[in-house]
Amino acid sequence: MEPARKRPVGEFLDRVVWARLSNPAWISVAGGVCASLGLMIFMVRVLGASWPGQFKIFFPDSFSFKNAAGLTPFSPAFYAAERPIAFPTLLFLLGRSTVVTVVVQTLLYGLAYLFGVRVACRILRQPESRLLAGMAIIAIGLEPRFALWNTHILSESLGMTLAAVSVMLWWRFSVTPGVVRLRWAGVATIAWLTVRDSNVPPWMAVGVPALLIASFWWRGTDAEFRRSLRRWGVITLVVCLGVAVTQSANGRNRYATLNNVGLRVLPDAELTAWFVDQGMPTSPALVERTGSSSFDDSWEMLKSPALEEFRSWARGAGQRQMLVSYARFAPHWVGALYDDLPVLLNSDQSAYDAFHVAQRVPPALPGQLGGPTSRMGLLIWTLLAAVGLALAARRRGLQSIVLGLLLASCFIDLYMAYVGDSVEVQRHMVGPLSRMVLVMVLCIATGLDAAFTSIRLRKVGSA
Amino acid sequence: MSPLARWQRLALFATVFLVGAMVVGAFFHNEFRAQNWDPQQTRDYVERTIRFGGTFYENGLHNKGPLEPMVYRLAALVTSWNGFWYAISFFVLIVSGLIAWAASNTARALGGHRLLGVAIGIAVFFHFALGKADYAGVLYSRNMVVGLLAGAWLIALAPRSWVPRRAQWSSLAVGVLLGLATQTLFVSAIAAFAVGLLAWNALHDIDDDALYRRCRRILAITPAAVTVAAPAYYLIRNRFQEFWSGWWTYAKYQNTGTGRSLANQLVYGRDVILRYYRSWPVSLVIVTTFVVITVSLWRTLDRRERTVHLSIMVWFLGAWTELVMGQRYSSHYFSILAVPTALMAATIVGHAYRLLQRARGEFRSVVAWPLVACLFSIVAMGGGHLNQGLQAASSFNSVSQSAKGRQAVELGPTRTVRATLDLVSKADDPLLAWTEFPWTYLNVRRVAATRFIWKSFMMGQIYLGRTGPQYVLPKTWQWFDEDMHQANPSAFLEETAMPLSQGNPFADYVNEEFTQVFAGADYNIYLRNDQADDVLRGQPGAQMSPTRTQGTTSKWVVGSGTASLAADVAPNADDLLQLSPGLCSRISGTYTAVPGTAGSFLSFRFDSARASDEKMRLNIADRQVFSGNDNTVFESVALDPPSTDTGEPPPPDTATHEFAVVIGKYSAALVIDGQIRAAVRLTTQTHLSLEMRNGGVELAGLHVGPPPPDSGCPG
Repeated sequence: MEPARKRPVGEFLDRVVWARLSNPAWISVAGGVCASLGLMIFMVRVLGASWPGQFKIFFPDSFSFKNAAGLTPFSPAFYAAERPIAFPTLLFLLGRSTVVTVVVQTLLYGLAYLFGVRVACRILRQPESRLLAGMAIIAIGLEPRFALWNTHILSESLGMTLAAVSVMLWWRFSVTPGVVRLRWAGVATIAWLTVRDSNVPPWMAVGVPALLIASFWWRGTDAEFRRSLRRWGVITLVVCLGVAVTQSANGRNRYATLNNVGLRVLPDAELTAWFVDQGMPTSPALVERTGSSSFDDSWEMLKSPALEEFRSWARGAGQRQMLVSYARFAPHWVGALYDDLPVLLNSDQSAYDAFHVAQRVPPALPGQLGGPTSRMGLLIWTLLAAVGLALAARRRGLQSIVLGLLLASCFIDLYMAYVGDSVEVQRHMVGPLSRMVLVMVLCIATGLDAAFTSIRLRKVGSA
Repeated sequence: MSPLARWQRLALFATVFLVGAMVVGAFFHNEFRAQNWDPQQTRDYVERTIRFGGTFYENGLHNKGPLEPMVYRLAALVTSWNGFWYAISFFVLIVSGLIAWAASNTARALGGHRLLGVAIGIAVFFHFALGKADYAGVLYSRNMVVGLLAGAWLIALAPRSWVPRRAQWSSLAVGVLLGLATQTLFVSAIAAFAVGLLAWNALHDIDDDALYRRCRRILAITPAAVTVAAPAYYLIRNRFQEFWSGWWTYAKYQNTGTGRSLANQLVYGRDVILRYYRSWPVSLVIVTTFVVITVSLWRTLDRRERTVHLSIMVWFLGAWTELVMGQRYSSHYFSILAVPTALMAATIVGHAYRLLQRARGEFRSVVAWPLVACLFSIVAMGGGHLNQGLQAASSFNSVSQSAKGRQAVELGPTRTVRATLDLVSKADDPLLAWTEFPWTYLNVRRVAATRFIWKSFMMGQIYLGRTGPQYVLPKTWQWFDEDMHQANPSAFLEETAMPLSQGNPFADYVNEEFTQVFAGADYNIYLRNDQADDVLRGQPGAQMSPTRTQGTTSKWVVGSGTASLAADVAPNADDLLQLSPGLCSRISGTYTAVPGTAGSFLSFRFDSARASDEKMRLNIADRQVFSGNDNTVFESVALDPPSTDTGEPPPPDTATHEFAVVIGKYSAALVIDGQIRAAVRLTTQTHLSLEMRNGGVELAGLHVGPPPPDSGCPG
């Protein structure tokens, strides 16, 4: 008996649809094409309305970045300018053109999140967790409060881009540790460290010790690999010190010290007393500055002759004492951060959305699915991330450890971004928040993936 | 994956990125760009057909085949009123894509690499969808014709179309496409013949003699059959005269109406050709190179390649013949020339590639050529339209939001006309207009009351030609009379720059049936006598006692049918006289302004339930009446007829005037002394108050009556 002939529609589906969907090479190309189109639409939505000639810079920091780029990397002053070198380097490479920089940083931002999706799809084994992670990563990238920074000549966009790349590369390293993957992760981390000086403390506190400890105590790996770990630990330490020293040397940190004294120290009697004990010169003129930043009242704090001694202190010892206070009064600062968290987490950054990006990209996911926007949300996300890490701990120990360390560094990042400067706190939190949400998504996805894999293996075993 | 494969992948994705941006940009920009003259004319006809039924030729004087209005009808069918041009923009993309595909396959047929074909296709697509030329990004009948010819060219060029299994169907498809092209524009017959030549040659490879003969018959008969299908259809529907008047008679008028002899046409054509190639030297280089290549390589070409060359050449000559015989060289017409020129360019590139490839082998860089073509197109052909398209794409959120955005920047006179029309008719109702523009109807969302949408049809004015009664179609006034009986328009619109010519049935009809109700800077509005009576005079209704927003603390003094405010009271935007708590009413009475030191300023103010929504206003400032919102004056007219300018400020207006604020469901108008002086459309606004912004006022005889019956209000 002849086999029943398939219907034309069935034949067509077999030949055109299923045959292609089961071909990895075709899927790879189709995925790339879809990603290209998605990236194009994202860029059109973010940049198109002001394209090409309406991108203006107006933030003082934007001019500061351009000035730093104007020094050019061929001048030693460039490396000790008021800004860490990564973003001024990008500006320099792009001829300090606002339009070109905006386009390139948006392209890099989009590519970084697409790279994140690709890495997640390669690392995760179960389709459900791949889908979840992929969608969550795209949702983070699309969020208006993050995407809007692509339109500004500020380091936020590049900071988020490099944060995403470095996180994904460390995650990839944790799946199959090797010298090459370590090198890529190290390079991305160095790039991230040189975008913003506030990235240095979390890496100094978590990354460098972790690499150095692993290089000595990680049994079961060869000597060459351990040497590489040590090497990258030292290199990143040197980069951290370089960024810290140059930024300290150029005196830009004095602004943060002045702001913190005016807005956070002077209103608190205990803190004021401690700082006075440490040598902070007080005067009626300084007390008058209570509740004011260095930019208020026509830069009174920066200009007033009566505050000359205070400014001199802020240029030197004041910065060190401010740093010490972050540790000495950690409970106080954490409490302040805790109080401000609802505002900081829930900020849509609309004050910075000069180009109305929020009107053109999808809104944040409802129910805090796109990341925490309240204290309770942060708690739940943290718990879920912790559960994810716990689920992954048994069979994917290294992934669990690396993601755990990254998560820890995110909280330090958050703390340092908050205490580091009391002016424009919401803007300073953008980078740490986007990185934190990304890491939390990876923790949860890894945990789910481990759980799904375990359940399926058990089913196969029992069958 | 090898490094080369990686680069190939990267080039592919980058190309997809840029081509995607081109498509998105073209779609959103051409939505605006496609709203050109002829397309709006065709839309007028289609909207009229939708409103009154019947054939396209009963609803407009259309001198081309029915394909063009059919395509526009399809656009109306699949979209909303506001989304119409997005569908047209989509069709523009399809036509541009077909032409690009034809050019791409031509390059490949002559030996070009597949990716070279893609590169050519991208450049051609950009030219027709986003280029600077006036024929790019629009959907005129000639764009449709070249799209049809490109489709037929694609079929004729593809060897697999002519395998025995498909040959008959391919012959039929080519025949239909060529027939539609000829039916749409009879003068495109030579171009259609050129494309048919290529298909005819493709039949040569069919071995089965019976099949060969059948295909040949189909290919010869189908175009002719499709061309005559239109007249035959209208003959059967008993609407042949309407069809013939437009398709043939008026086309003939346009031909003879220039008054040029054949010799003069040819000399004029020669001058235009010389001028054209002086302006577009690249085209001249392409044509010259093509001719040189054709002559020099002729002996080495196979039969198919020779036919390709020959067909393109005939197509090209046919295009110029069409332009010369048409005697009109509007920039939009040159699409018929641009397509064969693009095919010539594709042919040259195909040959060049084959020669080079034979000499040096395959090019490794070929993978990047489409990407280079993208960048080249943007840089060389200008990215202006692409930029505008990307801006539009970025800002687009929905069709209705875009429509609202456009409504917000409508010109004042258009607002006044629309608001007045909304008091006596609804959207898509007929409007009689004495105009030369197609957008007169569309701007106020009305359909033409008569099929003769322009006065030129009734005055015998030929475009770029003579004027005379011999160019008025024989049954014009009979059809006009039938149209008026069918439409019974509520309003007539006259452009102040183009006053109604007297001494013709149109003017007679207007003089008899209409009353002028508004005299503006750009338009005079006339309403049908009964409608004018309802709006200007109406029923006074019951006497009213207005209320005050600030109650007893108000400075307003109110009584039965009266209200007043002293001149020396300081203006207070919160101390209002409430005249109507809702829409659909007619507040009438008299007012006497009591000017203060800064004159007098009465503002009839329409508020929404939400305080943040904009307020609409009908204002009387001394002797000037104007419509507007809180920020903008829409249109302003003088209360008195213009008098001799003495250089002195006019004395304050203290006369008593009759007034009425006529509020419909969608608009309101201010009638003073028996004429509409200002009108505004209402969106979210629901209640009316009077705000004194300067001076005082005395109101008397205040009544509230019903709105005009056709103002959209219930009952």
